[in-house]
Amino acid sequence: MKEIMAVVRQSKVKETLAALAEIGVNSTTVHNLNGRGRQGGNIMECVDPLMDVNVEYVSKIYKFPTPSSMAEYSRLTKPVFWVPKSLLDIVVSEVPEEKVVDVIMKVNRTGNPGDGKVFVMPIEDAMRIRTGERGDAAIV
Amino acid sequence: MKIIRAIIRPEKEDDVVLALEGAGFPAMTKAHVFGRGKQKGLTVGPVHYDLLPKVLLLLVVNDEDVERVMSVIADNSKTGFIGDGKIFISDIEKAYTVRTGEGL
Repeated sequence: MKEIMAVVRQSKVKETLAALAEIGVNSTTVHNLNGRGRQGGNIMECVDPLMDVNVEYVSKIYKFPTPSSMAEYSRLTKPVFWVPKSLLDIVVSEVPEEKVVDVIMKVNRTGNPGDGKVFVMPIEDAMRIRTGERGDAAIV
Repeated sequence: MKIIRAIIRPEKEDDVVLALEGAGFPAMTKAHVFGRGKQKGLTVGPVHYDLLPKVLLLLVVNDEDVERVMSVIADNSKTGFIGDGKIFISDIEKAYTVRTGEGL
């Protein structure tokens, strides 16, 4: 049993879920949250060409603190940037985890910073609450 | 590699994030969550708050950096009162960058 945690773009979630359903992974938990990567979440310095709009406009939509808006009331020495992301939580037993990782990476790869990360971790046990099944039977 | 899940006070979020960035760990994920601890929430007079707002930070770091990241988070989110939060560490088997497809 493996857990696969993938942090991906919010705009790619539906596409990813459809691709996962094709290989037989139907159970997924999706969290919408904020993240930042090696660029510190600063899309002002590292503009994502896929975001087909003006950066100032994007930051207003997502309520990003831009340097100018932070300067007015900042008690911090520098602004903290966050980018909206989706976290997919998938636990698999039958489907090999390499296959799931490959599908996620194939769908989400654009070649730009912000494509996300995929983490694979072991799961010790699982239980289906409805029936009380344990282990692999709980996930299939 | 290890994943660090830190549950901290929302008002300490900026301090912790800037301190982590200063220590060389800019990459993380944050979620606004609700939780409670050993005290089963908080009672102020007649009002009982069952679940309290917290911030969950997720960081994946190399094994040798775990202690340093833990101390940075703890130093910057500590107030000494109940509700300061918890830090959990667990194993990561593999990690991939989607853009390049490489393992980290």
